[in-house]
Amino acid sequence: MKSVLRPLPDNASGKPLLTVCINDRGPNAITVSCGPQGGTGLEEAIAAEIDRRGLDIDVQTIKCLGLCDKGPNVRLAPGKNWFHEIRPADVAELVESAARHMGISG
Amino acid sequence: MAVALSQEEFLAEMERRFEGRRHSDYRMVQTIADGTATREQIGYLAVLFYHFTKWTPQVISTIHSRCDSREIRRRIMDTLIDEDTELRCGSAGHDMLAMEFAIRFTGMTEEQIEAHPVPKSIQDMTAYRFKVAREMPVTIALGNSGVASESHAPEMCRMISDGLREHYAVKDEDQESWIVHIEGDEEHSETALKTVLEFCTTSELQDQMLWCIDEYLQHWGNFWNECVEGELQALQTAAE
Repeated sequence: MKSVLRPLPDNASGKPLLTVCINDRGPNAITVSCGPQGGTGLEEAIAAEIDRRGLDIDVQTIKCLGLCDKGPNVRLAPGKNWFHEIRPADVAELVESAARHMGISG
Repeated sequence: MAVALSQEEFLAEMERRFEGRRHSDYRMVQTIADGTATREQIGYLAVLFYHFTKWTPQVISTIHSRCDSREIRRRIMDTLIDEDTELRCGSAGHDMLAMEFAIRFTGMTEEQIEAHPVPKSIQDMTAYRFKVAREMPVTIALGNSGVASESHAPEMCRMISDGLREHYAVKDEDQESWIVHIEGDEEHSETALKTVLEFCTTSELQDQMLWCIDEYLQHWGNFWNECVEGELQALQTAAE
């Protein structure tokens, strides 16, 4: 997993949210997409990890985050934070990083 | 004969022109971020943003058709694929993503949004974009799009996206139009800036680039002001 975590902007607000890309361009696509690379199913795994830790972080899915060649991708909002090339084994580390970056604990 | 600026001086001159005129400096963007924009204003922005975005592929392909460099054509083609298709960046062409957001936020139909009156200031902006794409040197036309417009779009899209989620209960899946630009435009603007710095090495080209930045930022200022000032009349017109 690779992460790009930037300082929270001064004008950022809102509850932390992890948005999981589940795009599937199909077998004939000219570029990769997150869903078939492992994005599908990540939402449930991340939500379960958040529950297990008792964290106040929302999870959503999106059809495309626009960084397909770096996928599977997850975005942490508010702000401009990204996790790339996520595997199922990375989920615990991802949630831990997100919580730490947002300054929250269970 | 005028002497060209060094790369550092040219970059500083370009950056100076953005002071106070970035997308994120405008009230429309700031009030979405802090939750004080009205739903009507955001709806009007959504409609106008569609009418801006729908011309982008043709502006880019105009530049592509005039470009003699295979290397630069390839960079333009990547941008065109991002903007006009679901193949590389986004689950649909960016005009369709803008349309989807406008439909979901306003409750208007695609036909109503397509037929919505476009104010003169926005028509002038579109005419300006095509004029630059058709008439200016390719490097300048690329810089006009990538540097003057897209380079400050990621922060604007981030502010709008965070604001929509926090204050207007818009889920991420309903605002892909803004989210795909948060990182995608950084790539586009880096590509354009690299090209501009590489090829704008004469005072004439540098002056043209700086003129374009001034001109496009003025059009964007008109765009953002229109979003704040013109929403009610336009939405009433569309609903009739």
